[in-house]
Amino acid sequence: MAKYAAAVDQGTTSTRFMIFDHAGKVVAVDQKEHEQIYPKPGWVEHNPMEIWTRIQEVIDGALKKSGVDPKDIAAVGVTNQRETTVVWEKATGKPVYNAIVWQDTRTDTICNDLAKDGGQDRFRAKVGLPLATYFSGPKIKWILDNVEGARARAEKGEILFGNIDTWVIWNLTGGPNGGVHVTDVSNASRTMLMNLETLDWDADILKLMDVPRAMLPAVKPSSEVYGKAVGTLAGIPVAGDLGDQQAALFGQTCFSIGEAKNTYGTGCFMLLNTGTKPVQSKNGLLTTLGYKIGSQPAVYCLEGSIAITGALVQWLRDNLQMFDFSKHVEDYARAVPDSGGIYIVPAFSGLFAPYWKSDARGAIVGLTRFITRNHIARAALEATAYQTREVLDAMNKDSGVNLTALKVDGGMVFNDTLMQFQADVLGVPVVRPTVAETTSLGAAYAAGLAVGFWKAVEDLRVNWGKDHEWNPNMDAAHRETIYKGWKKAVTRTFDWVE
Amino acid sequence: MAKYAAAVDQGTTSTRFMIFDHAGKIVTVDQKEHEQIYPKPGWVEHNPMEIWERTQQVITGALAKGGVDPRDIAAVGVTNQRETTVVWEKATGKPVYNAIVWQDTRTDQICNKLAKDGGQDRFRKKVGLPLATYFSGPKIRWILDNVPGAKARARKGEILFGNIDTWVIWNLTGGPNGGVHVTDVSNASRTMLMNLKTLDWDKEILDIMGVPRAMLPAIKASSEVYGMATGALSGIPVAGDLGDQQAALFGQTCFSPGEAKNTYGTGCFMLLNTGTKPVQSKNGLLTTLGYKIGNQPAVYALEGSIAITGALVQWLRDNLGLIEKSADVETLANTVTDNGGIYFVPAFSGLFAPYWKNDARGAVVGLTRYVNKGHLARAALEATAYQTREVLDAMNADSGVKLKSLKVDGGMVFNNTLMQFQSDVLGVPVVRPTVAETTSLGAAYAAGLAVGFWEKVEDLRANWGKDHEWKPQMGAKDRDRLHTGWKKAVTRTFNWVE
Repeated sequence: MAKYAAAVDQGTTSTRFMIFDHAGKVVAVDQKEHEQIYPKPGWVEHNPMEIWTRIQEVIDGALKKSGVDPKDIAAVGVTNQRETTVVWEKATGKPVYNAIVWQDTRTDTICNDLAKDGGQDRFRAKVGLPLATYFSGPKIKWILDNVEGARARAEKGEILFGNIDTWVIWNLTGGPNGGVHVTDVSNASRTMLMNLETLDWDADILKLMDVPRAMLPAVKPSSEVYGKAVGTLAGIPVAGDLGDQQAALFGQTCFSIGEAKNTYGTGCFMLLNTGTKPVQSKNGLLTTLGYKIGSQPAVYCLEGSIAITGALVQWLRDNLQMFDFSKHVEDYARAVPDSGGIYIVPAFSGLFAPYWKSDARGAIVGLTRFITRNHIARAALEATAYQTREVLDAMNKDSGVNLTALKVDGGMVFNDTLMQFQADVLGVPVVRPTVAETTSLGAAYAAGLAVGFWKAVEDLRVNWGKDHEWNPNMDAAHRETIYKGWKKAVTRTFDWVE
Repeated sequence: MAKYAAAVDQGTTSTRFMIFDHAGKIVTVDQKEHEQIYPKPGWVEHNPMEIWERTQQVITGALAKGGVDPRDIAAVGVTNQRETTVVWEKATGKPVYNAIVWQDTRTDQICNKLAKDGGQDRFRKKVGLPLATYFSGPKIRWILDNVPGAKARARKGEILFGNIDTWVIWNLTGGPNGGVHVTDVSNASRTMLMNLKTLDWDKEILDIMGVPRAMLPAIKASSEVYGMATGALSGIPVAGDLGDQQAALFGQTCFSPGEAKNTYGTGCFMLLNTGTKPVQSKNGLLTTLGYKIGNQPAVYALEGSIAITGALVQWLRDNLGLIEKSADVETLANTVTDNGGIYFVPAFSGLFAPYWKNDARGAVVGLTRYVNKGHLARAALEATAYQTREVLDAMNADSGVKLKSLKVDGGMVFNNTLMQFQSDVLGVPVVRPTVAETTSLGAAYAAGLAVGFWEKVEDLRANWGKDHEWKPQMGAKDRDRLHTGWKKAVTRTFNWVE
């Protein structure tokens, strides 16, 4: 009998392969970063071939480190950075262009043109999303518009589109030699091309966006056997597919209406389970697919997406070279009691929820000579917490219910200074589970459920345990004063790009 | 016969003693930095005792290094960071409080209150200045309000006020043992307390500001014998006193109406000689005293004051640790070809000319993930050039004449990248003289003129020579695009403090 379920977690800055036991404990992990390519201000690309190489490396690495026999793995799931867009040749597996990453803003003119007729929310009722550079549809259009001959070849099905999940599953199941071309509802709901009600590509929008259906993958449930792996994992069912944020929701076992989680990674993403009916947002949130288990009804979410949180710390590390390792940000931040009156609004690629302003750009405001790198480090952490507060406020308004605690996960939840400040600025407790790697866990859960390694979602709930809780420790008047300063700082980033 | 004229140059970050020969060439120099004290955001202080110690050290140091016999020095002049406010006990020479530096913004409330009745420009006609935290009057008021017993002691003349020139001359001429308590017209014109026409303290403003006349120094010409030095310079006439910017104007030999210079130091200060009548500004410039030689008529200037230029480079060095030495900023800036779309508006203590906004604070705007520390360094240099452009535009508008080239001096004029960009963004040539230490030179000129070491200002003109000239290389379109971006960025700093 199989002992494990595994997951490929292909994220924005790195790729991981993780193996879990039946109790949801981590058995093995390997991780590798890949190159961030910035050809111009606002452009962000990845090399899809490098990503596929890293995946093979971390699979081999994790197996080797732990001595796990692949035959003991019941199923493998895939979770991924969402919206990032790959277009490749079906016959060779060669990308026709680098992957255009979700943070990339080159599609702003495409989005503005589309918004001219009907506004930024013209497709919202159908797809749950505002027109923004964030989503895949306009990125596909950009590639088809800019790579010679691409549209004609797409119409003939000679080149294929996929988000990273699709690219990984296609390669994992054989690539040019019989790879399956699929995606799941959670990933498809981030393209702006999938209809929330039918869970299929929307013919009207495909036409307006000028994207041929022939290049698109089949939309599947998040938990079902898509095919068998080849290579190192040969013969293991590839049976789970969830966008990284939905995978974290799944890994946090937020299976009931009203349950929510916030993941602190490159960006921050808060998802609230709203049940089997889509709820439209009036406060700048997204309506998105949560997950779909086999033939059960799909589960929907409200999502608050924040583009830049952890990426700001990386920016301080890589671009300003303020420290060598991301975790050092906390040492600097802790050296001062507050941000010294500054705010960093990391609108590097515009602002996502709840503003959706593509033309905003990042700003550091309130600077005086008193400010040191310690204040900058602290302001960078605080930016994460303030942005989360804005999203939580929107969730509370949309749902009409005030969240009483926030389940958190992701890399930054081991930053105690940040988590305490998060509880302070929200005014509600913040709770970290025992397994903080909920993204990989969620994908492994989805895959394991599909092959009966776990029987029902209720079996997964018992795996969830509380590791740490931060309680608010700031008086309400101070909280509102500093939050007001943040709101003011945000306005200073608006309408920058002309 | 004496061979030299000398100057104490007490600046914002360091103190120098320089000795010049009759041709205006540097014979010897010594320099020492002093501590910048930042007790709170927006507060900047110096320790006056440390400044006096450093002054004595650099005098002794320069004499020793140059092997100069003090008896060969005809006269010594003093030039100084302006507006910085010292209040001390007449009997002991002990300061009652640290020096409050010109950049310090603690007097914003005092200024706002005074502006309620008659607006920010209520004293402009009389003193040529808007109400701003920059000037000495409100700083004196703050010390009298906040040091117990100070008001009563000031009324009795037990404690004395001086800008740094006054503090240095008082100590140089004997301190508690007969030191002379004087200032010159150029320094006095920065207090907001001197009437531009009468060249005496204005009774009405003294009453409104609550500053007793008994604590104020006598206002003298900029070039006249005030007294004899004691200590290492014993017996040498102290015979020149000019605020540092007026000293630079003097050292650049801008003795005719229409001549102007821009000095690049902690801040930037452009002064335009307007002749023997004060000209009121309609474009945010200051009307200030240029200089007064003995009993000749006083010469006035229009001034564009920029609070932070070189100080921004120091901030990158000291507070962010981005560079080790200030000069390294050029190397770092040259790792990139442009500013990457960002602007750094260093409104650390509000904005001076031409905006005069106390409530502005610094901002970096236009940030994307693409931006690195090279861009930050370049934006810091560019900020100096853009601010200078704004001041030059105001000069041209006020005077109705377009400046055809700009004479520059100060530490940053050896930064070739900055000077080329300065010329590019102004669209006129930028000229550096052979002696770039024009501030010290100007004070030495003033002292030397008073004792007949030089006969008249025409003798000084002959000492001026051109060392380097930068010509504009940028197209008008690029120039306008960049300047428009800067103007927009500046607005993002307004109304920050509430």
